[in-house]
Amino acid sequence: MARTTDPIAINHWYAVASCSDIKPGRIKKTRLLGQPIVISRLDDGALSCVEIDENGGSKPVPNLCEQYGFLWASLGTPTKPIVDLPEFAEDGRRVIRRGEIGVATSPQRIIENFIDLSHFSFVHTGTLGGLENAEVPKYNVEYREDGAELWATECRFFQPKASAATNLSTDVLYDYRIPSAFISIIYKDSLVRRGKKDLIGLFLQPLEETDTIVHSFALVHDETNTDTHILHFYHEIFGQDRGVMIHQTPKKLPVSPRRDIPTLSDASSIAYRRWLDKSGLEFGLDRNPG
Amino acid sequence: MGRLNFVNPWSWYSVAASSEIPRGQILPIVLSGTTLVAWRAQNEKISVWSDRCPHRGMRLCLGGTRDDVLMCPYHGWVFGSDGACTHIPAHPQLTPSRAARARIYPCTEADGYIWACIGEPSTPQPTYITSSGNALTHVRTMHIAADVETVAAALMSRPLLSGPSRSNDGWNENLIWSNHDGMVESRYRQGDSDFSARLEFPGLVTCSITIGDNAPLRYTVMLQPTSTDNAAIHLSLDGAGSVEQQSLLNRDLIQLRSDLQSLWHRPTLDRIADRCADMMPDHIRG
Amino acid sequence: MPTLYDYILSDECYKVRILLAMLQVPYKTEKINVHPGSDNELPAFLALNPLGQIPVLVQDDLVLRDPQAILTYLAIKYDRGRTWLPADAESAGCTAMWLTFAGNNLRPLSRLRDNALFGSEPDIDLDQCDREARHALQIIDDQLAEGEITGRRWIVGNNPTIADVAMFPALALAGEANMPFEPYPAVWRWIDRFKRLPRFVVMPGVLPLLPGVAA
Repeated sequence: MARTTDPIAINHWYAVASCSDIKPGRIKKTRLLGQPIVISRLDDGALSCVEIDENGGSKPVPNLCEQYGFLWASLGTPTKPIVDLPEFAEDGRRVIRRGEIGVATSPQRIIENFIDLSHFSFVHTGTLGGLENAEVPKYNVEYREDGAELWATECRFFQPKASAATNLSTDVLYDYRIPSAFISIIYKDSLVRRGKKDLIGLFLQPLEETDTIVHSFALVHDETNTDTHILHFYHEIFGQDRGVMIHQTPKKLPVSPRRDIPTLSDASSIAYRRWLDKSGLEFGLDRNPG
Repeated sequence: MGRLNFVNPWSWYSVAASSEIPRGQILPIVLSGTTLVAWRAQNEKISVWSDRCPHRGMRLCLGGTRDDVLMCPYHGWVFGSDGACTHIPAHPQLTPSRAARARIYPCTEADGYIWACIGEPSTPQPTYITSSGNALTHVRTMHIAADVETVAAALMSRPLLSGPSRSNDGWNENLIWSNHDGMVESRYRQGDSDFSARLEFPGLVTCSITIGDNAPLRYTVMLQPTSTDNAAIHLSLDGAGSVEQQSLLNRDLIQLRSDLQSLWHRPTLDRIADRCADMMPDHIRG
Repeated sequence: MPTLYDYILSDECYKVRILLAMLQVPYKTEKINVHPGSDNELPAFLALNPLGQIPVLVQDDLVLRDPQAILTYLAIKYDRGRTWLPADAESAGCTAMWLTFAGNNLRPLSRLRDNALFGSEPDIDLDQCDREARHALQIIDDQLAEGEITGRRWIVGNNPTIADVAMFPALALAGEANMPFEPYPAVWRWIDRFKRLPRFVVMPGVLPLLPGVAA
């Protein structure tokens, strides 16, 4: 795919690497929105990210910064700041960097899966859901920050094993935050520290419209498990999601309400599709009316 | 587009042998570029649907079936064999809307095979019936990386198992061509060996091999266009066939596929396909 | 009790997890951070397996790498009925043949999947790997179709063997290597048959027979 011409997609921040992965002397070749880029660490320790054009020439990306241990790049001028996550600086949470995993679908398909509850009993049987308690209670959908962020709140689901830290089967409360078309964060009850939330987040790096790298992290309360144990729990969950996402068609997310048949528990997905439809974004979307 | 017409929305095509989909089984199928799922309920009813859940576009072939329903693996939506969604686990008390239905395609079962049509079939049943009146013994369903027209030409010019020209590595161009009743026939005789093949539009090749005074060996190949460059074939023996015979047929078919997929003999096959097309009645020729 | 050095998303480890479950062998798991950690390249792990690969099975003084070797060991040690690795020369020879096929000729499928998931081979020749993967799938489809004619339900004979176990992960996960299902109907049916075996276990990317009913 050639570099996208969609200005809305261009003017976003995207995570393109985990900073600690880019060691001196190592270069990382990848793509962002169809644009080949190269990431490296300069002699003075700074991280560099350059765009490579068809003739092999390179120029730095117009905007680059490090935040939360990730390298963020924009091919344009972002209109919104990188999502604010003060929890990264809070004590008491384990920081699990979940690595990059590729998924051959649009970033919006990935977000839609991430914010969906009704697949828990089928895709994550025995952990995030079970057949006997597949019902999804009503939850709340709202816009915050003047329409800049979409939230689904007061989501509740019965989970046999909500996190690596627990084996307690119980109702768990979830909030979902979508601060941009390409980012989503889950805030879910910690079952280890009552009243506290665990965070799980996805920062998506679209290689092209139907191929995405998922950078993700977890900020969780867990006093018993090793990092690797927690990591494997999340990889199991994500691997299960990936196993269905790659088999959805079309790969680009349809946004017209006449495409696909939603049900009540799809309220957040309906809102997300409507939000995308209104945004004018083209990248990753299927705008056929159906 | 091939003269055997890769996309033919008014004809029935064989998509599987009945024995390939017993009760409670699912099989993904592609016909003329359309991705389909075939499945058989416990009540024996066979269904062919678009392989796509109407909810969020998940492939239904990766789901499961029990009793007379098919379930999507993503959110567990349950579909009855008429395609309607009967149960949404996220809302057990809800009656699913009538819009929540799988896209169904015409399908039928005849002669031990399952037939589907990607459009509106022009006949209520497939029009091919085995000429001998014997039941067909299904031998093999095989996918070939060659278009349906080239596959037909290959089958018309080279007998499987024993027969004239078997010692050739390639394809036999010394065929006698004829047509009647809208069908194209090819024939080859060598010594006391006789091979004849008949192509019936849009996708049936029946072959007969006679050696000396022995009873003829007859086999039938149903052609299934899968995409512009690929086809599937369903090979069956007329009448009962021993396991050994079927096994030998399968091996010959594997060799035929290998030769077909190699480009070495393509010019010869193209010429044979041209001759075959010349013989086709005008109303069929593309 | 054996210890399995394991990663949940590894198709090679899955081979061993399947057999351990089907043979009902209790075991300990030592989780290795292969991705993103590359802990399999650290000295501590290299001391166990100089090739730096998982799975590794450790039992008392025995340290075994290579999933096909581990399957062989487990079958002989724990399978009383001697069906998972039959002792007669012909079956043993055929099992070895298909074990090697699983180790060599299904590698392109594994490589395509690993690269799609983890970007493990940025310079991979996708077309070449794709051709090799399809060729392997075609060979197995032919073998299984032959079995459907002769009444042989499994790769070797009428009982599942470790040859079936060794081949299952790459074939069941072939969709993650961007392989189509439709051209290999005999393989599709064999996957269904395998999932019906008692004590079958899934892994992420492998769906159970019935949605919501964990295998």
